Amino acid sequence: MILEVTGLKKYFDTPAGIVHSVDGVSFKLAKGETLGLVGESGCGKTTTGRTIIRLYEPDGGRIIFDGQDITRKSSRDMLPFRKRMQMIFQDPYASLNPRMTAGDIIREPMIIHGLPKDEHTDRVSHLLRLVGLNSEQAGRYPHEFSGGQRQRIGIARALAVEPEMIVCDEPVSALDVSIQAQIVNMLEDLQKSLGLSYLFIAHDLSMIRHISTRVAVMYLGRIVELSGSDELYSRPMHPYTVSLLSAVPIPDPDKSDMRKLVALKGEVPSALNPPSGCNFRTRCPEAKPECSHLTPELEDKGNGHYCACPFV
Amino acid sequence: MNDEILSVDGLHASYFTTKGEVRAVDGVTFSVRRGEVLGIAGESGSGKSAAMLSVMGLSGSAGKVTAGRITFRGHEVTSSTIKELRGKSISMIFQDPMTSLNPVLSVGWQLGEVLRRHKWQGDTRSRCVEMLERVGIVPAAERLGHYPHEFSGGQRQRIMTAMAVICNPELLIADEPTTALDVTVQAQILAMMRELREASGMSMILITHDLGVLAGEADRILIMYGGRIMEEGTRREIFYSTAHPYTKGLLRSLPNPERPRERLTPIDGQPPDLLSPPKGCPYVRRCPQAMRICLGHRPETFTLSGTHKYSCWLGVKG
Amino acid sequence: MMYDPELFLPLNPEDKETAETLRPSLTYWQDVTGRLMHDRLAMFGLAVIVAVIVLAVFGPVLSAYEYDAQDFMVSNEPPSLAHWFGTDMFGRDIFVRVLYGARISLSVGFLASFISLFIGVIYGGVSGFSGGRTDNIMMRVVDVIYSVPVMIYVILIMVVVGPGLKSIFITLGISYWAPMARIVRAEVMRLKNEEFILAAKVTGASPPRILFRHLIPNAMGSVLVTLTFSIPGAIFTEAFLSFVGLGVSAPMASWGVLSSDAVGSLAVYPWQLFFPAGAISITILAFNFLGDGLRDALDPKLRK
Repeated sequence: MILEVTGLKKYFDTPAGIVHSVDGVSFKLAKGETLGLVGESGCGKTTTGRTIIRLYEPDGGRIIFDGQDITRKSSRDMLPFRKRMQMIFQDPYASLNPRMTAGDIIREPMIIHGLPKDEHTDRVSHLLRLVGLNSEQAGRYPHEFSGGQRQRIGIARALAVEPEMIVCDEPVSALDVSIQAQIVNMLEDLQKSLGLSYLFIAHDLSMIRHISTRVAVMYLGRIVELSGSDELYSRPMHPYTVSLLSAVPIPDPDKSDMRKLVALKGEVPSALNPPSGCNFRTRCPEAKPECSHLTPELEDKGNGHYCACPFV
Repeated sequence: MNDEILSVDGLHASYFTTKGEVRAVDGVTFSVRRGEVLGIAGESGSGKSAAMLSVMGLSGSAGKVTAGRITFRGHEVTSSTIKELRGKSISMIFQDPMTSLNPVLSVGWQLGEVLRRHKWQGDTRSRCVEMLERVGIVPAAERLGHYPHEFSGGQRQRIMTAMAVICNPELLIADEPTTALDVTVQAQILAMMRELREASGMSMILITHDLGVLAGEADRILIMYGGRIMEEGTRREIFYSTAHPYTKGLLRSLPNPERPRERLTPIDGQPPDLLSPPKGCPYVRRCPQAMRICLGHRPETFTLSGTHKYSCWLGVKG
Repeated sequence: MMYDPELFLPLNPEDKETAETLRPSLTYWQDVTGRLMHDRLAMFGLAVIVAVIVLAVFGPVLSAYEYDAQDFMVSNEPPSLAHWFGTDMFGRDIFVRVLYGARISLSVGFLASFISLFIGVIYGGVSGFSGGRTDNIMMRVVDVIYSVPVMIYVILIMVVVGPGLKSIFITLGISYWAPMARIVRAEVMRLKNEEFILAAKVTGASPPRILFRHLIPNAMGSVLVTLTFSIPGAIFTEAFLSFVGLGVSAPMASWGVLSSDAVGSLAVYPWQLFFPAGAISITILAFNFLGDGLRDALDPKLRK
């Protein structure tokens, strides 16, 4: 296991009250595996990723990276781990410093981690080629690249320090469809050749299915279902997963006409005061009176399929 | 052809920036029939939004229609006549429901304003209540007094839709109406729009980058790239007898749910540079079947059926 | 077919490349300058500023008159070929005094603004980046400094340092950085949650590195605009202080002193006021034109 997260909590203190962004999330990530983290906006998937990589201070739970507890490490003690875990961001326009050249952006992690200076230029060229750009482009500024090319620069920056695990936070959702496939293929190739482990955060269920070995579905700060990706998509158990999958548009007219939509009532409640008990009960098509006072835990339903609903 | 409600013929529109002319729309011809949903698909920079903004006369100070003819119900649309049509006979809703509503005015006031502007004959308030109910905002009478921040993103898109259809328009142009929303909310909004269409018989132009949404909602589809229409057909023709290499590439680059592990087939290269478009086909640099002619000659349009057309030199080759 | 069959042969990959057009690489600042050059009003402002600076530096040297040379034979003369702007009650040439005044007014403007730039950028940057309690305390200090009127500072400092140019510099130095600090803080607050800052943190970049390498360079646009607007502000403040008698003293001449001296005889010798007052107005207007142009040129919404 490269990463073990148990009972992770992250709350934000806002003027309106305490936002329960991540409320007890547990999962494991094996070496070389891709775990997909999927959910709608506000479900806490991005906060989970950022807390794991210690951009936010966790409010509870434990983060074990390669056997070592990094939950409370100071920023100085975190430095060696920053070399081993990296992140790829969603917005290819906001994730690169507009005042730095592509080369400087990729070089910065090497400077911070004290890689020998004479190797920097060669390594920048190597990384640019690795992500499908050419080394002459090192002197160009981010605004001279297209969205897909910028995302490649972001990936090269993450790879600069030879990490073992990468948190991919919606790395393709801001890109055009035809470019998404380029980036996803590249991420898959890099995983194979460099032995990377990915925590892949996205809201696009079909892309998550394609890239992930296992998938965790999040709702209002909790994981409601976790299973192997084929198993999850062919036999979804949790009522939320069922309706989520039924709402995904299918790019095929006949199948689109035939599918049955399991409509959900309303929208995701505010994480400021989430519903008591099972927090999905306010929208659940199969809610029962007792759901308001039981706290569902992820249970093994066999075949490595975990679901946080006692009624399935 | 009298069931055509809107027709656009040879539309060219450009934005003028300090770096030069950006040809956002480069010769676009299409029509919308009464009661149908015309889907327009394309990636960023394909000109799909720019074309619609030009039709609506909303392309802003830097944008200009340089050529083309737009007719609505048989009458030519000019920059002066569009002002009367806009909001009344042709309405538009946008991607971002957060910025399309004025935050300091109540929702009821903003709905009523549309009616007042178009001199609605009848009771304004009861019409507003009726519309809010139809888009699923209840209890409508009470919520009329609420302000935009008191609604969620999905509800705001419902309110925007209510504002757009309150004067019973004959054509609704929806520009990425669900892109900012979650899938479960997207499904709700699309279903709501479908009900509105069925009740009123209005036509709709649905602009989106999501081919899945079009597969479910559109009667006919235009595929745009680099400011031009690459392929036009019914939804079945586009998905099942795909003709243009770009449409094929687009469909192939989506993950296939039947074979989830299979490697994706992307389209190589980068989106087109509208500042210096190629003389021939805008897709030539990325096209796996590109021929010498594609570089310097603008492709002709080839007709496959009464509804199916595509612009590609492969049509000549046979 | 009417087309040459040759044309339907597959396109070589090399030919595809030729279809690709490479635009020259432009850095952000080249881009901004390019846009600024298109702004006629801003370019006019810049030309005026450069002209005023050149005149202030070389004008007094080239003139036949000394700024403090008195000649009672020609006192209170109207503008003529010998004295372009006329003379004052001591027979001093007003043209050369206005040029000499430009030296003082401009150096007050530039120096005060650059002090404010230095203190304000670092103070605001640290405050915004630290956030929380540190930010709160630092900003309350700014509030206090900002809430005390300039007059109080100048009077208090004059008591200690004595009247003159020095106390004006100190006054402006103390009070002028506060708005700059606020602007920089707001920029840093806005930028610090951008993904490229998160990326730097994930990489392990130290706080000073994030502040000086990532945040402040990206705030420089607003800093430059604020600077361009604060220079005329400082010039005006100096003129005002000199006008009410709290500034430089005779025989030195700033635009404020010249205006002040001329007010008494405004009804009889109006040109004695018009020329220095005109110099103040034109310079301030020029800086405002340039500042407006800069703000438009830096506006990211116009960037394509």
